[in-house]
Amino acid sequence: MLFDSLAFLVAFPIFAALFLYAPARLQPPLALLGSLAACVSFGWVTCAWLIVLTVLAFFLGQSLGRRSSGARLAGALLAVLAPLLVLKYTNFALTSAQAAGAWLGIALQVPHLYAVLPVGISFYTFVAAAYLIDIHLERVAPQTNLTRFALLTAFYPKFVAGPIERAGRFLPQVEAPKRFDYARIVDGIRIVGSGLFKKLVVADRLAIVVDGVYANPTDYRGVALVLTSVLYMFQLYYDFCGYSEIAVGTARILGYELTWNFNRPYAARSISDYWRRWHISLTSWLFDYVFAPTAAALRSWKSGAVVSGLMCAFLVSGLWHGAKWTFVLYGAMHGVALCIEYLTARPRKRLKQWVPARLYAVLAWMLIFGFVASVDVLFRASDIAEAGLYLRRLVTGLPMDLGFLLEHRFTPSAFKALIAGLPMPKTELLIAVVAIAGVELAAYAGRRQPFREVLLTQPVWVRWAVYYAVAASILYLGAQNAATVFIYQQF
Amino acid sequence: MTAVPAEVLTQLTVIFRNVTENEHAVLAEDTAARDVEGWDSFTHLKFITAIEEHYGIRFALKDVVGFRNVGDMCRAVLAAAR
Repeated sequence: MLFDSLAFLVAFPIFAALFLYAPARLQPPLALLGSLAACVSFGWVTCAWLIVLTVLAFFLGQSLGRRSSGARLAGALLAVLAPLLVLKYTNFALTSAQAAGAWLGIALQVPHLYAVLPVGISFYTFVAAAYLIDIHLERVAPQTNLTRFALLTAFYPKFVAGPIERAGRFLPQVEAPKRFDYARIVDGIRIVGSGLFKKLVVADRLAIVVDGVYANPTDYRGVALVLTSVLYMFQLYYDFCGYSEIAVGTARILGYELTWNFNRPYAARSISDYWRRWHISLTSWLFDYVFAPTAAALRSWKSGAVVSGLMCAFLVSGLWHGAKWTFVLYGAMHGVALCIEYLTARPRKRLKQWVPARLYAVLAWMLIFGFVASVDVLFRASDIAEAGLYLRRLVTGLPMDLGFLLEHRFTPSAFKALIAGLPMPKTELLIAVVAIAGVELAAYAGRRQPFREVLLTQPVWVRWAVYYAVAASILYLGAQNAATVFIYQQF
Repeated sequence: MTAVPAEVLTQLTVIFRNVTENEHAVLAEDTAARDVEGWDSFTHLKFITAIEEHYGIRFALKDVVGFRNVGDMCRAVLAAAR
């Protein structure tokens, strides 16, 4: 049952009413029951793995709480990570070994694991692993109530695709009674509305053009591929940000506070700034549980410790996204970019003193935007060869397209001619661009205070004009698109 | 939680000033990395290494990743020195 399905839109308000008026002691079991019922809609296999991992993490947590050591923690982590490692990476490891063997001239016959990857396993496995590490570090006490603990991994708004919540922040909320609070519920509905708009009006619309181009990249070149890369950046962002906002909004309606996953990532002026704004719950997880221990263990290497920590964290990030070499390369590219940024901190500081501040900011923004757009090709391509073909056609076609634009003095009709073959009517593309511009302007206006709070300070007609515009867009502009899954659901 | 002796806190402040080349840095027991400008992850590692070199000790990995503030560092120094 996905957030943008009719089943969810009907079932959730009924469940929320039952939940908020239930006695406080019944609320955690009710939330768990509702979560498991929603989980079953993804299949019994998904539900069974979620229950197995939750029970396992609960008892391992209790065991670590009684007596913990490095070896016991390692054993516990191996146990909770094993299902993810086996189900997600076995075939990748086997086919990679086969390819390596073929390269060396050795023919390897490898078996294939036929298994379904349970929905959300990458997310709730990381939640469980963090819980065990936090018990070992005495940051949290082991939870003694299985029903309450189960909500940490299984709470429906977040089990499919995060946010990756920490036990120390989430479990105390499970204990607190939840009551009907009009202002909180209305705020939650506003956040859900914003998320639905991003997903249905923008991301699903952009998916049509991006999917069409990636299906036949040889039909396009230069400017058309540059534009598609930028459109994919926004599709990915609005798809996952939309999902995250619906998760935060639905949780808030029920009285829970989840982590905000995004903070205007494409306004970043450095790659570290980008990762502080993009998928924040995963980035902070990687920093706390991969980078920090790696860098601390190797601290006698000085700069080498930071470089090793960054590369480890971002290779894990790449592999976490998917068992494909495109994702490994995606993580490695970001890791290398962060290392370069770290190692060039001093010369960049000197350069900053020489270049006018505004010019430096614009150039830095363009560099990061271009880098992220280029590396996102790896995120979207089905394999390295497709990413290579895409980037090759982009780079080789660009001089020809620029020559054409120069010849026609960069007129709008010349641009139109270059993107004429994109698989989407221009009016649809225009709707997406206007919607992105509107959302980004709202995000800019809300950079110090959330836009929905800024909106509350406006006259009633302005507020309701915005609410009606968003609702009408979701109903009339979003409805034209075929329903698609959330991109991060597949991880 | 045990109180931190003033001399350990003073010594850690001296080490921190040397590491960051910031003569005006002031550390208190509840000072955390986010409270001090320029205290990033690399500064953190350099600071920990400098403390270890000064006191001739080696913190456990569990301690290093678990430090929440300067007070935690002071207590780890005292525990390691015992």
